[in-house]
Amino acid sequence: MPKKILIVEDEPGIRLSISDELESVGFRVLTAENGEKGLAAAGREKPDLIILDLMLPVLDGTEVCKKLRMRGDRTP
Amino acid sequence: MLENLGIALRKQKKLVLIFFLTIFLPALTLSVFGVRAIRNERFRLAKQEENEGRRAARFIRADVQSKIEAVTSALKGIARDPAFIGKDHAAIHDLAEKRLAADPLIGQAVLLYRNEEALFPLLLVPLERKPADSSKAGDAALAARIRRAEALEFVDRNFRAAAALYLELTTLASGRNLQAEMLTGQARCLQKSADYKEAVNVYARIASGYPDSLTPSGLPLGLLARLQAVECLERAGNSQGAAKTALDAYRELLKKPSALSEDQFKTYISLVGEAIDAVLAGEEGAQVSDEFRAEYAGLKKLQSDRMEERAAAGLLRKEVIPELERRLSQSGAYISNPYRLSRNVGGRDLLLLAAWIPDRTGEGTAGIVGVQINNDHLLADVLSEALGNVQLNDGVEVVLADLAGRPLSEKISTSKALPLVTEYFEDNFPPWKIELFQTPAKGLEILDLRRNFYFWTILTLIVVLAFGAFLIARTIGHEMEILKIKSDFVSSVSHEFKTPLTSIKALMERLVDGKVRDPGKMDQYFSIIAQDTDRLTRLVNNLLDFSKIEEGKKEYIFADTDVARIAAEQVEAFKKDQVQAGPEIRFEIIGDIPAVRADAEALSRALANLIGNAVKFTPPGKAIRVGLSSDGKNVVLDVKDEGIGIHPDEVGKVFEKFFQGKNALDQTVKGTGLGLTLVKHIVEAHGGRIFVESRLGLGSKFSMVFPIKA
Repeated sequence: MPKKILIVEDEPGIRLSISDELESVGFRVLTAENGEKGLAAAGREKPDLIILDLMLPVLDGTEVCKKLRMRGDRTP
Repeated sequence: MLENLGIALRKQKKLVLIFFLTIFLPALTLSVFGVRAIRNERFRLAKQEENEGRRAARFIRADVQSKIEAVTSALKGIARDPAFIGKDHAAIHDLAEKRLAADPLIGQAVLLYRNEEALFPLLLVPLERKPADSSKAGDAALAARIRRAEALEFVDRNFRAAAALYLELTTLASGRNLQAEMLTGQARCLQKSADYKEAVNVYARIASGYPDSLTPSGLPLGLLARLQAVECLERAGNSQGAAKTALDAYRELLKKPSALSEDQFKTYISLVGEAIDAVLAGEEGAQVSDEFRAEYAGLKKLQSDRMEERAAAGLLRKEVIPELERRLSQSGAYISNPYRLSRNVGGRDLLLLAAWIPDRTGEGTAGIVGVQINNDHLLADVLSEALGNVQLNDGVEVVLADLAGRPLSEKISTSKALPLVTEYFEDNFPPWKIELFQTPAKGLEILDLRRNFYFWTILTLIVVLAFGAFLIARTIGHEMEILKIKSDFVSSVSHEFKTPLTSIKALMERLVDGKVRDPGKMDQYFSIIAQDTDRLTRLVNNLLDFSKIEEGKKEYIFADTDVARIAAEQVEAFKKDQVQAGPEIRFEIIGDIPAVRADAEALSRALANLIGNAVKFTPPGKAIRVGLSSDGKNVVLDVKDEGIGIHPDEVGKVFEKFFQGKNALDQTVKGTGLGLTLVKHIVEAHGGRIFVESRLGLGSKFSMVFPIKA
């Protein structure tokens, strides 16, 4: 079972390149283009790692991180 | 960003505080100290003036008091004179005349012995009284002859015989009074027998020989003789002589001291006056010499003086004597110290100094001798002399007032100010106060002027400083804001550049490394690269345009342009760029759109900016509507989104360069803050206008209105 990685990034180019790169080395990659969606995905999919951009529309990275931690999610 | 704003505000606050501490507070302190220093100086000066005034007032008081003291000691001296002890009225009169009347400060003197009528040694003294029955008691034979003469005169009415008998008796009479009485009888009988000439002679003899003798009823014989002589002379038709004699009588009448009572004095005065006036008014009046008239006038003046003196004596009798009598009746052992007494009578102060007269043993008290102070002299001469001895500051006015504050001197103070200095006399005698008024205080006035000048200068300075500081603070605040905006701009621009570049770089690397094989995936990669490149191009164009605009070098090439085509192209370009789910972009054209003279490139750039903004601030699932319409005069191109909207406070600012709305900043969506500035410039370069409507949370609508050129 490959490890699950969630990428939260609003720039499509960056998101695409990172996700493709990670997929090519064998991870399962999930993507979200804003903080809100990222938070939802993190709750739903329980990824093993979250790669979070700080500057995001709707909810920024810091906020997302805070909310995750407040929910008791210790995902790195 | 918010924190930065807060810091900027705090920095301004610090500036205000620094200004307050460094300029305002010292200035305020300085002014307060300055004003206070002047006030202290003023107080010191006022105190000094008060001290000087007090010294002057005390000097005046001492001067006046020493004069009164001199009178007191003189009085004390004469009260122990044997003349007073022995009730020798003639000597008393002489003494009073010499020792008291010479002093102008003394008005009237009063003499009071225990259980006796009060006397006024300067004005009224009783002449030696003849015992009522002296003639009868002396010699029985002589008395019989007197009675015989009287019978001849009054019963037989044989005036000639009576006159002869009276003359004979004159030589026989022993006492001067009796002699005078006999002579009077002779003159009377001569007068009755119409022998006026001889009668006048006898009357003259009486007047000159017995000036001090009194009738049994106590009237001065000399005076009566003269009056009778006047009548005789008139009867004899000798008006000149009558007038002359009347004048003599007048002179006699006004002599001091007098024994006449008030009524007698008045009666005789009017008798004499009538006699003289009759002569002056008569036929012979013209012959009256100038000397006579002059003396008559002089005597008339003397008469009014006497009247005044009598009035004063009358006042003393009424107001002071009862008090003196009371004191005298209560007095026991002799007291050498004089005492002072003051009474306010009808607004005028009656000042009396009194000394006790010892009795013959020197141990008891026999009477009181007092002098009334001449207020007019005290006020006018003594005070002015005292004032002359004192150096007064400029503007100082001395007012002497009674205890109720009524000014006594003629110079009535016009100022209602409180007196600078008030000094009272010792023991309130005289019961007055010396008040010094400072009108106007020159030194203080100058000081006040200076203080006011300082005060207003400093106040003006502070106001100017505060205003200047406010301006500086505002400018600095503004500058800081601009600096911050500029640094924000640089960081956002670099971010704007960096993001697509990073994206392109990452994608390109994967493509170049051959890690992407799937053609669909490759298309996606190229599409994103193209999109990012477009973004970069737009950004660079915007920046270039902006710098051109800033330098004023931006040039537009106007040509007839099909706005609809350009709009459609832009909408399509955005649609094509939208890779994943974003807001839906719709394009609507209402009616025919005429061609507009415009710079096509600039126009599409403006529209691209507006659509770009709309896309940036509108979440996926919402719509963006690009509308194109025309009302025949203008072509209106509007972009309406359903995005976050603009805060009402900021709607007016969106076209300012570098401005980025708070709401936009919250979205962490970066931009340069130049887009709308550029749009506005472009629209206005086309002679158009741009409008914005926005509701927070509901969306914004930007409308570009271009006029249709004929």
